[in-house]
Order: sequence, then structure tokens, then C-alpha cells
Amino acid sequence: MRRAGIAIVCMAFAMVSHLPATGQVENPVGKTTGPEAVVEYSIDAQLLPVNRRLEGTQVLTWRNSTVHPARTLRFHLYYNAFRGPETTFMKESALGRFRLDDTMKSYRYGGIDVLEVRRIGGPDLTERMAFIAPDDGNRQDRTVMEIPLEDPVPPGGTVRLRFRFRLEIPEIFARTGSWEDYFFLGQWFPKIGVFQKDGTWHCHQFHASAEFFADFGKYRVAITLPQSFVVGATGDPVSVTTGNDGRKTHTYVQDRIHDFAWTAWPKFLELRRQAEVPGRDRPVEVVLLLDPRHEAARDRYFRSVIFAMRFLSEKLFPYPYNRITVVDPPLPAMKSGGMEYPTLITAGHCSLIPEGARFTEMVTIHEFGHQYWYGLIASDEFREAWLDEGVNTFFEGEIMEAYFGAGPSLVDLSWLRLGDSESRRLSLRNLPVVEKVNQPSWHFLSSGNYSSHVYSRAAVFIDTLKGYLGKNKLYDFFALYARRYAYRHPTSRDFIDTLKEVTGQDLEWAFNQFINGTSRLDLAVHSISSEKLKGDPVQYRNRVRLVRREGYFPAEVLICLKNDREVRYLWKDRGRWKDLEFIHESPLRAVVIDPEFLIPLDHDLANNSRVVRKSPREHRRRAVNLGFLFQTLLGMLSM
Amino acid sequence: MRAIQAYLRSFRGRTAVVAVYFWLANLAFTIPALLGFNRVISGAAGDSLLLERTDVYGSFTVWMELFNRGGAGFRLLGFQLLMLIPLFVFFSVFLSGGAFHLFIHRASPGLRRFLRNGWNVFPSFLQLFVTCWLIWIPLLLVAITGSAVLSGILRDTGNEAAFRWIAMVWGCLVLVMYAYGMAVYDFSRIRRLQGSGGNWRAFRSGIAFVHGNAGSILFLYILFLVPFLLLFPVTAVLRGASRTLSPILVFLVLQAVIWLRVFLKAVLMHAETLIPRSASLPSSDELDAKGEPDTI
Repeated sequence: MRRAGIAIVCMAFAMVSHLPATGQVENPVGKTTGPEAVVEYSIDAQLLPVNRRLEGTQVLTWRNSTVHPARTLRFHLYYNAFRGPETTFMKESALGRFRLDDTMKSYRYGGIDVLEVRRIGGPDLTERMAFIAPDDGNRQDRTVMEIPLEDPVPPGGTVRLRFRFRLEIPEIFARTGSWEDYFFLGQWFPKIGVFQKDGTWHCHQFHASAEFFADFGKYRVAITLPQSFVVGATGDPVSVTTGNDGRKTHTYVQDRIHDFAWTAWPKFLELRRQAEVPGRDRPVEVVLLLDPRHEAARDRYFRSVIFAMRFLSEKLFPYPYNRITVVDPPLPAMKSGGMEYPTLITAGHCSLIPEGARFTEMVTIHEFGHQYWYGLIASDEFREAWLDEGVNTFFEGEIMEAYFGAGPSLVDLSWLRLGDSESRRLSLRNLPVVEKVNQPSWHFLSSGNYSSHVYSRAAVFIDTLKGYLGKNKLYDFFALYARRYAYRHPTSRDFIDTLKEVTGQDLEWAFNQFINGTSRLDLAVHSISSEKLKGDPVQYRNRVRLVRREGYFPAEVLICLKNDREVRYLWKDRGRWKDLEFIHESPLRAVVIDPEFLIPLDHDLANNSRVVRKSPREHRRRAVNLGFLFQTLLGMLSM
Repeated sequence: MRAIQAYLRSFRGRTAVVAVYFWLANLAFTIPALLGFNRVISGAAGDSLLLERTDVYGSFTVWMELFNRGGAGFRLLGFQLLMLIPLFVFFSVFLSGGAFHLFIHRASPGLRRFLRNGWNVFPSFLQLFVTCWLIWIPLLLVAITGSAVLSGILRDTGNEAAFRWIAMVWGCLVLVMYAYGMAVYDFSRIRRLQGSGGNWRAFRSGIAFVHGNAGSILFLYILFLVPFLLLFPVTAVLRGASRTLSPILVFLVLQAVIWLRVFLKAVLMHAETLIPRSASLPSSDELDAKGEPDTI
């Protein structure tokens, strides 16, 4: 890889040489599956860190995989979300998720300008570019660009376009931008939308709560920047060359991905490990780009990401790419943390947080899980985000619990113990309104409601399905679903149908209530009583009344008798109430709905049980503990 | 040495008796909290098995369920307890009057005498409490501003290691500031009871004494803090074991812990009264020569 007059420096991508086919993927599902690549990007980017600018050229090859001619082309210019306070993203952000606080008043905005776009072998299309806002009509929003074509792209035909573009890199915000000499570039290049089977474009504006959707394809990206920078990027590195101006060009390639992100910072500590993964012939290279001040966290990152990779490789299908890069952003650039891109994730660590608060592991595991649900299965995150975020959050809980074993998996401190699954159920408390989980992301009441539904409610729903179907059956389903739909962008319908296929059960009633509907679930023990009957031997007429205050879900009911015997009853009929009555030698002691807590979707647990006679012992014990805390406070305030 | 001697000489029967008075006052103000917590927890849990199912649901979940169901009750109780706190603070000023009087004049620790002396000195102690805000407010401002600057440093530089060290140093400084504020308060009161002039003069005298005997006072506070802090892990173990014990027994054991804490506090107060006896205090004549007003 030489250029005239340029000295080539062979850089330390030692592992690259022994990888079998750089940028390719190992067969993930036992067959050469997945549709033919729809897009092919070849991007050359020049980072000008002093000016916080990037200049790029891009050759895009796009194939029309539908039976309709494409008379226009639509592109995401996601970076224009950061162009000013009036963009749809920024306006929505001000309402919630990435809150525009006082510090944002002096925010350094950025954006992308497409300077030229030309059809290779065809006309200059620059003058035809127009910005559209298909979702909200916001004229200040320039995140979607449309180019009408004189010559439509016929079905099966391809078009090649050359772009010249320039980025003004904003202050780091919403997972992209710069802080000092740290750069994170996500959603940074002109990206074509998805031309759907019905001949329409799927190309939404960049919303604060929405993430992404794109066709799979091949990417080659060459990044030129000062040589002091340590670079991490999607895909496999194929070369590093040095120009006569001393700048280096890092080139990455990757097949079968649908996005490309990269980061650069001179201070990154670059660490590597090889991970043996079930079902793979060769190890996966794990690259950790670490803030050197977080060196003590290196094992936490490596162990958690490798554990997650092995877990999902075993349960779903082997991780197919050659490497995964984990980025640990510096604390002031944490707004780039906690995000997923193909073969690259950003996590986050703060050494001031005690190790018992396992947020570093949680975020790492969560973002790695996206490699499957966002990266490989690649559902539509604009319209059906739960298929990625909800499913991934469920698996985050599963992996956290497997990783940390018994006990609370998320926070295990002496004064606070919290399981990962427990934490997301809590976020369903006090929702302003229950909405459909399965709806376009920007339709939610607020960003908070979006995440409570798409992440938490969906995950708690799947947790409930696990209790209903059994863990093995649910995992069988996920294995088939993941293998079948890898690279195929499945929908909620595919999810439900595959679940029916695996379990043999029609679960529409559940999805209709809790995913496609707005029901909550609340099962309750309304009353219990025991009446002593006359006669010998002594017998009691025991009565239990169960009510469905909201929603329907079959549940087991545990009836405890005073003589320590137990009766279990499966409450599955759909009536709003159910009376149970039986005569027995012993009176009732207590009744518990869902004794094993297999239905975390039930939003009120206090009415799930009832005792005949209250035992104040536990109440007193808690009161004594709280009273002691108050007493301690008084002691401290004693003057 | 003066601090150690004073500290050791403070382990007296009368100190223990004063600690009993402190504990009783503390308990009296805690009873509404105990009853209140029992009421709202019982109300929220109702006749469910929620609290017994902590192992199944998780303790955080159980508390959230309780707060969710008994939200109004918890909020009302919280408000009531917040109202109790300033009352307790004033009452503790009254108690400290009785205690300091008893320690300084080596009087018998009878309850009536204790209360009478507390009542007699309460007005002047209350004035001193208010006067000491002249010191506490600037110290508070310094502590808050410094903490804000520290978090700004962390946000802008991301240097967590440096932050940790600076925060530790800053934390120690804040502790010293706190100790200084409390020492001025204590020695102002002691000086007031030693009968040299009015409150303003006692306040000035207290400051002068603290400045002149900083080492001894700091050492005395460390002597107080070490066993006091050791009680916390002991308490944690006790609370951990409380699940298997009867609530009444747990309550009694925790009261013993509280008594131990207030006993250590009483020992500290007693020791503070002993230090000035072997140190030179500015005399009334010296303060008069500086033209200090006698009252505020």
C-alpha cells in the first residue's frame, strides 16, 4: 500500500494478518444466508481536528432490490440534527431524553453539508438536492435529503453516486461530536434510506427517541488524521499508511453491516484480547479503547463483553464478525457512551462509582447485545424499536444474572441491592400514560415514556413470557428467530409467528394487550375466609375470591392452609373474577397469586397475597429499622 | 496530653447519667417516628404478605410497592418528622445547657437540677446558637462553593483520580471547618457558664479559646470520633442479624447503641469543660480593654 513519495508505515495491526478474510463474516447460522448486499459505501474522510471539521468523499453503490423503479433517492443526513436548536432532534431533545440544560446554551452546533453529488457516468445532481421532513414538516430540519432522478433506477438495477461532503463536528452530544481532542463520529455520512417492497422510501428524520434502520452492505472507510491519534472503528483494519504530511490513513472494511462509526483520541490506551467463542473456528479479537485513567476497569470490560459474546453465541448463533471494539469514553465525553454500532460499542466507566454498582458491566453487556438485535437481526428501530431495545434489555438481564450469579445483579452494596430485571420493572412505576409498545418512536408522549415502554415494558413482558413458557422454550424460540432472521429485518409479525411456531401456542392475546395494546396487568386476591362447620370431625368452608383488576394473564395461585399444607390452582379462565370454595379440615392461612413471581408484568404486587390474620412482626421490624435511622439523624443534629 | 487527660477524666457516673437524659430525649422524639412508620407500613402492606416476600420480589421492589401504596401516608409522616427536627434541635440546646452546667459546676446529676439548670441557661444558649450562625454561614458557603468547583473540575477534565484526592482533601477541610464551627459553639457556651460577661463576649472568648487551643481540641475530637465511628459497623452487623430476632429485642439492642453514641457525645462535652480549666482564657478585663460590648 504505497503512494508516490509516501513512506509506508506498517502499523501494529498484528492480528489482521492472520485473520482469514478481512472484513468478511464467519457463517453465523449454518447456511450462507442473508440477502445480497443492497449498498456498498467507499468513504474517504479527512479529520481536521483543529478546525473540528471533517471533509469526505463517498462513493455509494445502491441496488434497487424491489420490483418498483426508484424515481427519487432519499438520504439520511443525521448529522444535521445538530445544526441548530430548531431541528426536530433538538426540539424533541429539549423535551426529554437528551435534555438541553443550561450548559447547552453555549453549545457548539455542527452539521453536514453535501457539497456535491454526482451520478457516476451520469449528471451532476447537486442542484436537485432538496431537504424534506416527512414526519413533522419541520422546515428547519435537514436530516432527510431527496434527489429526484431523471433516469429512475429500475428494479434490480444499480446506481453509483459520488458525494463530496463536509462536517462541522459539534460539541459532544447524543453520542457524537468532540471534546478537546476526543472525537466520536456516529451517523456522520450521507446514508441512503431503505427503498421498501411497496416502492416507497423508509427514510425518517432523526428523532430524539428514535434510532436507526438501514440496508446491509459493504463498507470501506479510509480515515486520515494526525498520526498521534489512536483510532477505533467498525470493521476490520486493513492498512495504515502515512502521508508525506505526516498524517496517517487508517482503512477499515466490513461486509454485512448497516452502519459505520469511528472514534479517535490520542490518549486512548489500546488493549486487545482474543476470545474463544462457541461455534466459531477462530477467536474473536476484542479491542478495548480505554481512557488510561480507567485502566483498573480493563478486566471488567473484557470479562463482561466476552461473557456476553459467549452467552449469545451459545444461545442464538456464533458472533460472526472478526472483532468487536469497545470504547471507553473519557468522563466529559460520556455523552458518546452507551451506544451500539456494528462491531463497535461505546460503554462508560467512572472510577468514583463503587464496584458493587455494576453499571460498567451492565452497559457493556447491553451494548454488546445490540450486536445481535440491532446489528445482525436489524429490526426497524424507527417503527418497532422494542424488537431491538426490548429484546436486548431482556437479554441484558439474563446475561447479568448469569454473569453475577445469585443475588442482585445490578447493584450489590451493603445499603442497596438491586437486580437488573428488578430495576426495569421499577421504571414502569408511575407512567403518565400506558401506550402501545409497538409504535413509531416519535409517537410516544415523551422520551421518558418511550424508554419506559420500549426498553422496560417490552423486557418485562418477555420476562413474563419466560415464566409462562419456561426458559428453555423461550430460548428455543429466540435461537430460531435469530437464526432465521439474521440480516433480514424481521417485524413484530415475524416475532409472533415464530413464537407460535416454536411453542405451538397462539399468544396473540398477550401481544394484543401488552405490546400492541395499552393494557396493564393487575391480578388480585380480593378476599379470603374460613368458616367453621358444625359436626365432627371439625371442618372448614374455605373461600377465596380472585379478581382481575386489569388485563389478563394465566397465573398460579398458592393456597396455604393453617396446618402447613398447600394447594396450587392454575387460574386461567378469562372471567374478571373467580371464586374458589372448598371444605377442608384446616382453615386458610394465606393465598398468594403467582408465588414464584413469574409474572413481573403484574404492576401491583401488594394485592397479590392476603393473609387471614395479619402478622405485625415484619411491619414492626421495618418500623424499628426506619425509626433507628431517624434516631441516628436526630443524634447527628443534636446541638 | 491535656486532651487525653480531659477525655479519660470524663468517663464518670454523671456523664453516664447525662447520657441517659440525652437518650431519653432522643427516644421521646423518635417514638412518633416509630409509631408513624409502623402505621404507614402496616397500612401500605395491608393484610398482604408483601414484606414476607422480600426474597422473591427483591427488597427494592418491596419498598417501591409500599411507597406506591402508602405514598400519602409516607409523605405526611415525612412532613411530620421534618417538623419534629427543628423542635428537637431547640430541645437539644436546652439539654446541652443542663449538661454543660452540670459538668462545669460538678453538680449532682439529678433530673430536676438538670432540667432547672437547662431552663435557666436556655435563653443565653439560644442566643449563642443564633450568634454562631455568623460563623456557620460563611463555613457552609465555603463548603458548598468548594464542592461545586470540585464537581466542575470533574466534569471538565474527567480526571477521576485527581478528583478523588482533591475531594478527600476537601472533605477533610470541610470536616475541620465543621469541627471548628462546633468547637466555637461549645466553648462559647462553656465560657458563658463560666460567668465572664454576656453572650457576645462569651462568643468572642470561645473563638479566642479555640484559636489558642486548636491542637488539643482537634485531638479531643479525634478521640471522640474513633469509638463513635467504630459503632457504625457494629450497628450494621446488628441490623443485619435483626431478621432473625424479635423486633422488640432488636429495638432494645439498637437503643443500647444509641445510648452508647450519646454517652460518647456526653464524654466529649464533659472533656470540653475540663480543657479550659488548664488553659488560659481571655479574662473579662482583657475583653473589656478591647471595648467589646457585653451583649448582642
